[in-house]
Amino acid sequence: MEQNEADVQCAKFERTIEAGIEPLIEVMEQLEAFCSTAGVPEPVTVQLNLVLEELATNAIKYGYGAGEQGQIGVCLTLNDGRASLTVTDDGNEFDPTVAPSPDIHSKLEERAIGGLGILLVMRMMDSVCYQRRDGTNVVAVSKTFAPLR
Amino acid sequence: MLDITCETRGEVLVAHLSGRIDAAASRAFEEQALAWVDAGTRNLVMDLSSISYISSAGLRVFLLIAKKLKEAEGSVKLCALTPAVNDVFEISGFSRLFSIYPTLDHVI
Repeated sequence: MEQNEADVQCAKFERTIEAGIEPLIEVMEQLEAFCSTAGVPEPVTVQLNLVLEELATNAIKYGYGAGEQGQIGVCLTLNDGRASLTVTDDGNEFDPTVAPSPDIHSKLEERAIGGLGILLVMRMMDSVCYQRRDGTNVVAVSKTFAPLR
Repeated sequence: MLDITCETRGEVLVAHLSGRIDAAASRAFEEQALAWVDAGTRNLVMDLSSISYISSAGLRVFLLIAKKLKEAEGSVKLCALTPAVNDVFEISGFSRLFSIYPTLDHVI
């Protein structure tokens, strides 16, 4: 019984996928199932999945040259009401924390779509840290929540 | 996975969207949305009561359709946003960009 509770309080999800939309969607489904089993509230699960999608699609779209293969790493740890998600990619250097913010007050005609994904990441998480490490982009985000019992 | 069912109510096309509007689903959603405009739809209502997830890929399609319909002097209205969708619309400023109603009955 005590062992089970410890499992729920500290759990880890780790995957490496090919940089492509289909593998990404698959890993998002797995992440959702993992979070649900581990007692993460649904709104937080949705946010974590969204953050993963935004960071990974950015890498897939802009990180690699035509025909270039890439790999994306996903690691989520849950520890006593704190979710720490790290998304890594071996594509071109890109620091989302210094990317320009889109103008969200402009009129429809002038409204541009770029940058909204990063804005969602920055606003939904408690912290977002970026590191370029050995030719890899490492984005680590965290979010605290009240675990479901 | 995104399902779209349509019905016509007078001059208005009502699209009931159900599922997730993620990077994969947005491609088909964009094709469908552009097909509506090409086929002459000018007044579009999208019922989002069964959408559990939307990312920036989905927002892009909403922006695209709104611009197309504005050019064509048409309109797009959204209704029944779930909390997950509402969050994303608030952060991105889309709540101010679109006419949003609590339920489908409020629109029609």
